[in-house]
Amino acid sequence: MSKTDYMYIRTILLDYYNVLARKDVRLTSIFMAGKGKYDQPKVLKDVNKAINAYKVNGDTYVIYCFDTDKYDSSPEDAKIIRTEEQFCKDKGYDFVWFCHDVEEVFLGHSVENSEKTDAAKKYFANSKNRKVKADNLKAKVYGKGKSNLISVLDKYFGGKEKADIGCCKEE
Amino acid sequence: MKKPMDNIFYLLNMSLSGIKNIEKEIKIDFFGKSVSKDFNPEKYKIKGIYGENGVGKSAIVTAVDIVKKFVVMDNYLRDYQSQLLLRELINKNTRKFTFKCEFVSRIGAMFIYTYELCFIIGDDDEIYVSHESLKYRQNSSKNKTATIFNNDDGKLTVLIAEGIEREAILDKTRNLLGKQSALSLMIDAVIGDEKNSELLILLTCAMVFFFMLTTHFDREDIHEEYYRHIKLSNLKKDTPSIEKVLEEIETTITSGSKRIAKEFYAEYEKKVKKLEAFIKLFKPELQRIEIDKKESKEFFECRLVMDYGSYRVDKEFESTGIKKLMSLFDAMLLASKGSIVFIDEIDSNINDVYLCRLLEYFKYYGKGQICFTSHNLDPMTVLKENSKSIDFLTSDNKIVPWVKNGHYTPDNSFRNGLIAGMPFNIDSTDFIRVFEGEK
Repeated sequence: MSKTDYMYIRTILLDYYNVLARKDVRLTSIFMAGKGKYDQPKVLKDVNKAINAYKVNGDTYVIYCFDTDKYDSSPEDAKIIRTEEQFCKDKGYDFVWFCHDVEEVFLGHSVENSEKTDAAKKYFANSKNRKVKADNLKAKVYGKGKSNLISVLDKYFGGKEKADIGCCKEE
Repeated sequence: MKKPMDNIFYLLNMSLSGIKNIEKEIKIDFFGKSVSKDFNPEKYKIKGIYGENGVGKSAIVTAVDIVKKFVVMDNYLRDYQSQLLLRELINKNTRKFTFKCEFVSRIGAMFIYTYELCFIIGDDDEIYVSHESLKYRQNSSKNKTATIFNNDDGKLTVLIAEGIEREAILDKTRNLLGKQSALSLMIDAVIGDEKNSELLILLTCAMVFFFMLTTHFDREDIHEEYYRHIKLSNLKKDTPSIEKVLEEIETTITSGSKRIAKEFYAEYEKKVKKLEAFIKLFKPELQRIEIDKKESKEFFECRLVMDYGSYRVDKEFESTGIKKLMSLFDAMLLASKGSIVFIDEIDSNINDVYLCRLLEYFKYYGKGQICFTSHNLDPMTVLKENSKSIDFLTSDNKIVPWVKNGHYTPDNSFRNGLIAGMPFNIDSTDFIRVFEGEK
């Protein structure tokens, strides 16, 4: 995930889980320098650094976020997402997926690379742009415009009252 | 061989609740160990309190200020303005302010005192004392604690005094304990009757501790100065056995306010000379600080004029930074002579380097205690080697003392949200919503 992609995830963290009010959880975001870099030594080092730094206060849980890309039409993409899932399983990390990519889940359509930052900023900035349904983020299986983001985050932020505002308002 | 404690008072810990946004009780430990015969707080005389904006750091200093004024100024709770202010300062949910502290006194024998105070907002919206007590024990946890007095809802439920002293105290405090300090009233009751009575000395030591407790908010308070002067003069008269110590304390705490009692003017002049030397360290071009004084009954109204040779500036028109240094000078001078000084926002308008050098001076050579709040993380570098020197105040009213975390420095841990309860989950992108959102 890139910093741009994280803006979509951040809307959920802010509006659905109200993380700024949660003083018991420390969020650390680590961004990849490109696709397929999730197991690069630099990334693994950053992950371990974050885990060790917070050890004194409690456990750290690692959530990797991936786009499934064209898993349903490209055998190569299908293989990549399987490998990424296996990597998370082996490491004991959570595996969050966006089908086919984060924009398709949050905006309903894919976005050209050159427009990604503007689109994310626009989505993040204005509540009227944020129309994703919470149900679409609780999917169990891959499907167009679906993700398991909330299913995973609920494990850590669940149990708290969720804000019934913004992007995740049940309709 | 450890150097023995050379300051007369040492604040061991304090707990407080119900002030501004501090609802639940917080406890600040300055020493953190039990007090033994060879008590030495040398490495525990400075503490920085850090926290996010609006968590209540200033409330800690405010709490100390309230307690000190209540004990030192007889009419504090009767004063309309104090009542008005306290109504705003006492937590709106709890409507109750509590304070407790333990301190070591070394006037004569070493004693450990426990002082407790509780204010409540009554149904009539007036502030009353619902509890005040003073206990003491000798310098070991094995020794039993004796209660000197205990005031619950305006009644002295425990009183150590006997005979005439007891009668005098009961008489003096009757119907007054809801609005006045029992400690202060008891001194007034005992003073003059029997010089050097054991009780008077115990009470005097406790009272002088509150004189030595100082708060700095960048504002001056001449009333407090006035009350302090009257009280100390009486105490000196009636406790000749500790008169010398009280005289020394009086010199120490003669403050730099603009209205100076004539009898303290010589002392004030000396202090301004020191201030001049202090400011010259930062502004070598300063030639001298002159006192422009006007007589006003038993006082001199004094203004300070900064002489830079080619031009002169009234202190009021000095730069904010120099004025801050001048105010810090007062605090540092008191602390360096043995006072217990609480400074709110020590870092405002002061250069990091100067601030760290000042704190470093105090760490190595100071005599009293300093407790400050700050947003500037640089002083952590100076403080981190000493124990109990850095506390974090979280938004849910918890004090988290700094504990070593691998190779992480306290400032790094703070910046990176690694202090429990202070995750700093705010992200730079969050501001997009504020500045670019909802057009």
